[in-house]
Amino acid sequence: MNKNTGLIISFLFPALAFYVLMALIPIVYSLYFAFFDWPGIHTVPLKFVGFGNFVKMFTSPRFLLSLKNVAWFVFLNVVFQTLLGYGIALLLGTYLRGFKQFKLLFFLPVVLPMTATSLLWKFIFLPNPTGVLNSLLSLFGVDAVAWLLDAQTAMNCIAAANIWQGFGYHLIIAFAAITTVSTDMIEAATIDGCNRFQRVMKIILPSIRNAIMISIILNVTGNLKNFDIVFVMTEGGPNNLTHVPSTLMYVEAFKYDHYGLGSAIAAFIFALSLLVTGVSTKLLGSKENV
Amino acid sequence: MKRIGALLLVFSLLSAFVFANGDGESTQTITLRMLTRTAGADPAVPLWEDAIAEFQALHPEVIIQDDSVNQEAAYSNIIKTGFATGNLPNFFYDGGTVGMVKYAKEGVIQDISPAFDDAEWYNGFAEGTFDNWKFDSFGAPGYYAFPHAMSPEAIVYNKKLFAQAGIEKTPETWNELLVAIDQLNAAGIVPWEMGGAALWRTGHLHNYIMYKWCGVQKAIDLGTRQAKWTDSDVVETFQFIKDLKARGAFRENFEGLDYDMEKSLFLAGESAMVLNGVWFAGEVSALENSEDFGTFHFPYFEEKPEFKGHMVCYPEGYYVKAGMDEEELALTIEFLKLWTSKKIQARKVKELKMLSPRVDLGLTSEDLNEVLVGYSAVFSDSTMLGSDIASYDPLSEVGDQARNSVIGMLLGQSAEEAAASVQAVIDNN
Repeated sequence: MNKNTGLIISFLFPALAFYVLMALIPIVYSLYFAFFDWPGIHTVPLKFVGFGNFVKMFTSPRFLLSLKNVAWFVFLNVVFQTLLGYGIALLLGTYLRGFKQFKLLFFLPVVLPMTATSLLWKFIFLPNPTGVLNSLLSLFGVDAVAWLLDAQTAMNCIAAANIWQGFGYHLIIAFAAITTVSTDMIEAATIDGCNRFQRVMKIILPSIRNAIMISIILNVTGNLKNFDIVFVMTEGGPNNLTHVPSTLMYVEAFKYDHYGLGSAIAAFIFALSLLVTGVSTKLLGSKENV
Repeated sequence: MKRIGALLLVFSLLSAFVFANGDGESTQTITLRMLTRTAGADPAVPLWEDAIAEFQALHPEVIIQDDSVNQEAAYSNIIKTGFATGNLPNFFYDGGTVGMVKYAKEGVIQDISPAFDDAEWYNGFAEGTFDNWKFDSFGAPGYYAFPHAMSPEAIVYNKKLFAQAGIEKTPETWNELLVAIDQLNAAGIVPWEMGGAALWRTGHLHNYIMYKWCGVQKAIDLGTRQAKWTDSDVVETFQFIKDLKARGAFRENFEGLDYDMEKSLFLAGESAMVLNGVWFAGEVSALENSEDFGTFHFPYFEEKPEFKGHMVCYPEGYYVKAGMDEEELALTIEFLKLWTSKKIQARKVKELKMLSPRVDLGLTSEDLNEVLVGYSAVFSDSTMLGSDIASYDPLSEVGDQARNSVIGMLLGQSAEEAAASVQAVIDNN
């Protein structure tokens, strides 16, 4: 027993208590509720239904569609946020060294509240006469597009808004990683006759591989549980076609009073995020050992 | 010296506290918590404040704690948390009817029928008003809400734009409506403003078409499962909406417009008509050119004259929590009777230009403006009033799916698919 154990515990206790109360207990409760039916009335006892809510969840076409939607949403975000973030960071770090102050500009959307960003993009994608994008396109003779009314277009629009909001974060990670690349290596490569493109492909990118992996993991885990942008931009519509599991969870639990089913969806999101994080960390670890 | 001074101060404060209660006996206060959607800048707030002040003058021992919130999501969170934890306000507003049956069945809300013993108060309401909250047929005998409002819906139109299109008489029948739409389109005017992104907008249109085509009883039968959404007459109600779109009734991509845009465009004279409830009357009345607007009843189908008088009217009520002691319950009911009294309701109409569920207010035409008169005609010309189709269904997701299905149909599905998707929700439960 360390002589400072008491002190360590006393310092850790507030944060630990807060974490247990606000995160751990609700998670455990949510898992517990997933095995019961409850209409949200205090006088009605919980009714044990075993795996009934999970069966209902996996056989619900709406849930399966929400899985497809979130998979597409995560894919688009991983690809474009990473490409944009790292692409621009590489440009600023290599070709456009004089424009480093642009980092702030690209990072600005990250600090905006998600609801504000979502509303902003909702107005951009509105149909005529008020939609910014359609008004702009009409200047070039392009007919109005009902961006948020077609399920596929709507998911792409939501993803575009999310990419715009989030790529600056990955740009900062990328930029920090690029600055750690040994200048000696780069200079040596330059002396050996490598051009800029070769230096990026052969030296910088392999050197920041771990940062790229971290970006991907953050992107996947963050976007799997995405709620606000979908909820504000489409509320899961039109006709329930743009739901992701988290918006569906909210609707089932708080709109339809299916607290058990909502909890089952929450448990699924939790398990999926845990799994993805575990696999990604494992992958990252194995790469680090190469 | 300082200590003695401090002790004396504490002693004198305690003495003042004890002797302030006369002979030293404490007076027990009762706190009544109320939760309405009337808060903030809502023009009805002063009226509530007056009612509270009047009640507290009669009952000095009562404190009325007003927890009202205007914002729908915040209100919903409070009330759902109340039901889940049992910490409900003494009374609360809700726009739903049959959706509240489950709470009545579980004994969480109070049967208010003993209040009907006060004949003077009770007889002032239109006949059948309380039947909106009568849940006997759903297995919860009794009446469960005090009426807050009976909000009829009608078509508000822009007289100038109608005249510009050469429409001399407002349409009475569905076919006349279609002709008017053609005339407006020919004149380059958007006939009907519709904010389809707010699902309830097309949902309300569906309500009216349903009642004019199938009658109000059909919605009740759907709720009690004596009818199906896939019945041919119900499918036809979906088709009528699709036909309206095909006819060019609405603006291009109206499915993406929200309610605020719908109102703005209409009030700015960008379109000729809207279907909206009496809650919209205030915004029309506030316009400088309010005389340019009028109302007419939702047209009926020539093939179904029997449903001509079936109108949409949304009952909104105040529910009382169950399980209070006798005194608290009596005070809660007394306050709600005061709020729904002739005196307060007359002020509501005269000062706020809102309709009241009471019919004994002795109003003159000067108390109402033209738009309000048009809305109140819904009552006088109706043979049966119907609320939201969803409000007759005990499953909340049915109403939601019905509205989603309407928008899904407008974006490409067939009327049959739309109807089937609603029925599927019922079948899967």
